[in-house]
Amino acid sequence: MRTDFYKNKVYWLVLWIALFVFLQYNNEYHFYLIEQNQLFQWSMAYWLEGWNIPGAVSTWISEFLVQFFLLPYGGAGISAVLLTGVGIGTSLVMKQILSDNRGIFISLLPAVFLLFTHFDFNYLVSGTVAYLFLLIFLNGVIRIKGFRWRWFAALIGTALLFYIAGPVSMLFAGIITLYELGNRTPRGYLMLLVCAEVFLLGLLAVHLSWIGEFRYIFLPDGYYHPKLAPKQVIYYAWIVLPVLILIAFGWRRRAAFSGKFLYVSVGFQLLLIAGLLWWGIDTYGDAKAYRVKKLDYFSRTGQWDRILEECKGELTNYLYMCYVNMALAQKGELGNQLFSYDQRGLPGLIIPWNQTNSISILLSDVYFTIGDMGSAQQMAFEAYIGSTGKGNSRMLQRLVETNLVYGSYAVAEKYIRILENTWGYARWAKEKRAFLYQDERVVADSLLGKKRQNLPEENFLSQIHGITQDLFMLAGSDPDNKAAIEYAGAVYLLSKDNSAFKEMVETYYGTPVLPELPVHFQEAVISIWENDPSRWEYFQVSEPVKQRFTDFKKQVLANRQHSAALPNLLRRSHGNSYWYYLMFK
Amino acid sequence: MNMKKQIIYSLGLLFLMACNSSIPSGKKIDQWPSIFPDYAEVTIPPNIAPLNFSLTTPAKTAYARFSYENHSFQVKAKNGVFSLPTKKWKEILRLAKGNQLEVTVSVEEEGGWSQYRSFTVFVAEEPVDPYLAYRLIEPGYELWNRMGIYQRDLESFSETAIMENKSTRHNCMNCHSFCMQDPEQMLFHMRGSVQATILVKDGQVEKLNTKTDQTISPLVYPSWHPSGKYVAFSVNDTKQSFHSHDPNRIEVFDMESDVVVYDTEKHEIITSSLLSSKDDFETFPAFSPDGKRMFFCTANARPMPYEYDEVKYSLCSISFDPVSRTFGTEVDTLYHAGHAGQSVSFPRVSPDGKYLLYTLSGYGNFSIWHKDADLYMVDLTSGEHQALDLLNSDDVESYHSWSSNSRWVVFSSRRIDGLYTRPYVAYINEEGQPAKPFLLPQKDPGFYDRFMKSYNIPEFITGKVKDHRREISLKAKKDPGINLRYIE
Repeated sequence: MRTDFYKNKVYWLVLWIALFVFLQYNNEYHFYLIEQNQLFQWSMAYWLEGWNIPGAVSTWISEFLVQFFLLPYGGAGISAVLLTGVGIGTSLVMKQILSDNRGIFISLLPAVFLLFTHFDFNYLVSGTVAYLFLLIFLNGVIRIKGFRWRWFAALIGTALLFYIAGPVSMLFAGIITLYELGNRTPRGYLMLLVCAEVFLLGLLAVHLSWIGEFRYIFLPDGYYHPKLAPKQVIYYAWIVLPVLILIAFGWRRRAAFSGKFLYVSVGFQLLLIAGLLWWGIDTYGDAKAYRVKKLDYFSRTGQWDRILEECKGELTNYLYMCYVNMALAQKGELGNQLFSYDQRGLPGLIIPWNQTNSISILLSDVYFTIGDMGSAQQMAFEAYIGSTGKGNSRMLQRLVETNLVYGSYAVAEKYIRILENTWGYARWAKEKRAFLYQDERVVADSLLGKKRQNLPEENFLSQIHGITQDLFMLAGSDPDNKAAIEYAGAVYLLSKDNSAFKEMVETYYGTPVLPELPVHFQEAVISIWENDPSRWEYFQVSEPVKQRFTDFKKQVLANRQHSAALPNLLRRSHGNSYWYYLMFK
Repeated sequence: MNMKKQIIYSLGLLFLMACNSSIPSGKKIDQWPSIFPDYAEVTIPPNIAPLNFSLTTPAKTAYARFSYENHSFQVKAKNGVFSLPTKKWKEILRLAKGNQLEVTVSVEEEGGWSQYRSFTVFVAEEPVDPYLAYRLIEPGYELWNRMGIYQRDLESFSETAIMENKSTRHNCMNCHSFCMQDPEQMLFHMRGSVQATILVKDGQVEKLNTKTDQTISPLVYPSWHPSGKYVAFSVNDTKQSFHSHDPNRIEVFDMESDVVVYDTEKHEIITSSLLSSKDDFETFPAFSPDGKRMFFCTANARPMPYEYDEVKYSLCSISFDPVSRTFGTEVDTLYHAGHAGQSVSFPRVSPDGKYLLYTLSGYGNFSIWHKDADLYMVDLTSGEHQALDLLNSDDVESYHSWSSNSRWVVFSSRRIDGLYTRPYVAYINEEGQPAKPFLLPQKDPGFYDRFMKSYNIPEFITGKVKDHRREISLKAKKDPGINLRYIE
């Protein structure tokens, strides 16, 4: 008996470790993204904000836990605990029916399906916390000996679970009824009253408008971004639990597995889990978005070199290009290294806003880099509003910064006060408090002072006259703001708009805004005035650039007959030049 | 009397003495205490919820004493917050109606007790309408998440939802409006995933599809005719941009706009060429309480958005015959933007018909984002305009509405932090003289510090709006709605 106990402990510990390693290795950056989108405040007011909604407790607990996803191993560790807990809870329910451990592997199915839902960043962890509550209540109730007491406990437990965990109370009522029917308990049908109870509670919640729509109270949709429709996988963990209960009752009628049948059974269960994991991780693993999550984290933490490292080679997504170009601008290398990375046009420089949270965050970062505080603030606000939870902590930090830059101290103080209520950002907020109503400190600060210097001398309405005009206004106001003029030049180069680029260099070259041309701008000068080397001299095109152009031209002329092969021939030697982009991309 | 009774009586006496003991005075400080919200010298209605407030400077212990003639009570601050006992508050307001309360704050600091100079709170004779309706929304740029229209019981701290977007696929809802402060007759718009105008009249909910081929847009800014038979609306092609470096963060402007009137019985839209000219922008209609006149704002059309700051709205009016559904042929100008140089928005006539309250700012009509926006009032008898300096601040004062007895106005202001609009209530006497406004009291005065939504379109109502949420949500999502007809 005792050996079994320790065996089980080791089994679950191994499982937790495996889950932790898997999640940490494959999803580390996913957790950072989840954390920033669910601002949690440690205050009574925060709790009171949502205490009266069904599922309030599981929501609060999940938001409390998610704040620790900010820690390097926090997301993987906590998620692994929750999922292992679901596994343990399910196995205990199975064991209660089977009286042995026959279902120990198959009882992992709900945890596996929940794992798949965790990959979706619109899924709320409260769904898994609620599921755990369901299993705790289920284990508690089915252990009660007398039916009358069990029925009474189920009746009370359902109402309690409805408040604590929300929609899972429906599942609870269904399963507890199934349990009694499976056990063929005399008068077990009375458990249908529990189903009626929870159904009535749900109706009441919608009719009294505590909850907006039935799907939020009867289905796991209540644990998903409320403005979006969840993927089907969110329902699987709900479907599989009653199925497991039925399987358990089916197995109970057979004698305990032994000999060959035991091995077949265990083998089948393991294969099922392994196959499911193989298929599910591939299908729901959200691998496509993972790179963006990673880049978002590098951007958040200012790891520009890691962004560049991550984006070497072919890029198939405008988002990656946006991160690359922002990283280059941060390093002051946009004009020199733009074409060292795969470029596919203007959206890769400043991606069009599609009103989604992730694009808003990215654009806020891009505009902040450029020094366009108005747009950075706008995008931060949109991202804050559009977050999955009750705000986006990272974007609230951005709002603090932009308001400090603008000298809007009262509203910056409001946001600082909120961040001071958080675990992960309180110290940062306290540091920023020192800047409130202190213009001199703001000006002296390396970041805030620089951004305040970036503010245009003359106000203009953003994006009315086009992005380049806005950039020129920014560059003109602060010649030190190289990012603005280089972004403007990059807009023209990526759009292959040589005439606009020509006008730009003729206007700004030799002025404090553009005292000298970066490499790709020099390449563009050669393209524009290919037959007028005097202009090359005027714009001080460097000898290496001239030499490269001579070489480029020579290769083009030599291989004119092989036009299909030409791009490949030139990619290696000149793929990182504007000329190559202009001709072949 | 036995010993047990004696002890009980003695303890009771001691308790009463403790409750009525005077607060420690100590040294006198010849200034008012620094409190939030600033309730010093404000005028309040006799039916307002307790004015809970907090000290903005920390103190070890603090007391506030509220007194009127022989009646008084005192409150000890908890964490710097004075939470007033509701019963005592109501009682003292009842007694002090038409007079003034005195509030004395004493604080204990390192050096001992100090007593600040007492401040007064004037209690008006006239009550305010018992409910205030408003929309709560983040002061954002384009997106929204959770939003709703709510009603606050002004005699307590209770807030209930009139409608929330969680029941209608998280769409946008705006421009709630009531017919003469009547909670039984209201309307609001829904935009986004579920689009409609919802009109509730005498318990019936209607869904209206308000875009017609002849009008610029669905119906926008409303104003009910006092009969409830008509609602004037603007139709606007509105755009939004934002400033790169300006205290006004956002700019909202119309590319074009007209004013129309909706007949709630025939489901028809009518207008006049004087209200729908191509050369002018007309917007913000407001019926007079007798229903025979309609006020509106109008500006010469300019190339937009390039000359957004050159658009200046005048305040005009036109006669309206509710029987024949016709407009007059002449437009009167009450404020000429061309001469006076500023721009009018949100005209609102007092229910007694004496005054018209409006917002004045440098340009444009979306003054809610203009720091220079202030409240002005014109006496409709004399035509005299006055700036309501007591109501105005360095920040935005914009949307406003009147109470049904014409003695109270509520307006939104960004004065606390420059971004989040908060509702302020002010008394206006029969002569049109305003008193210092007060911030809508909350149970916890710290509420405004942490609340991340703005109070949008505060409107007094004479009672509680019945709960039609479920009915509205079903109607909005499932009912095809009534298509309006445009009558040439």
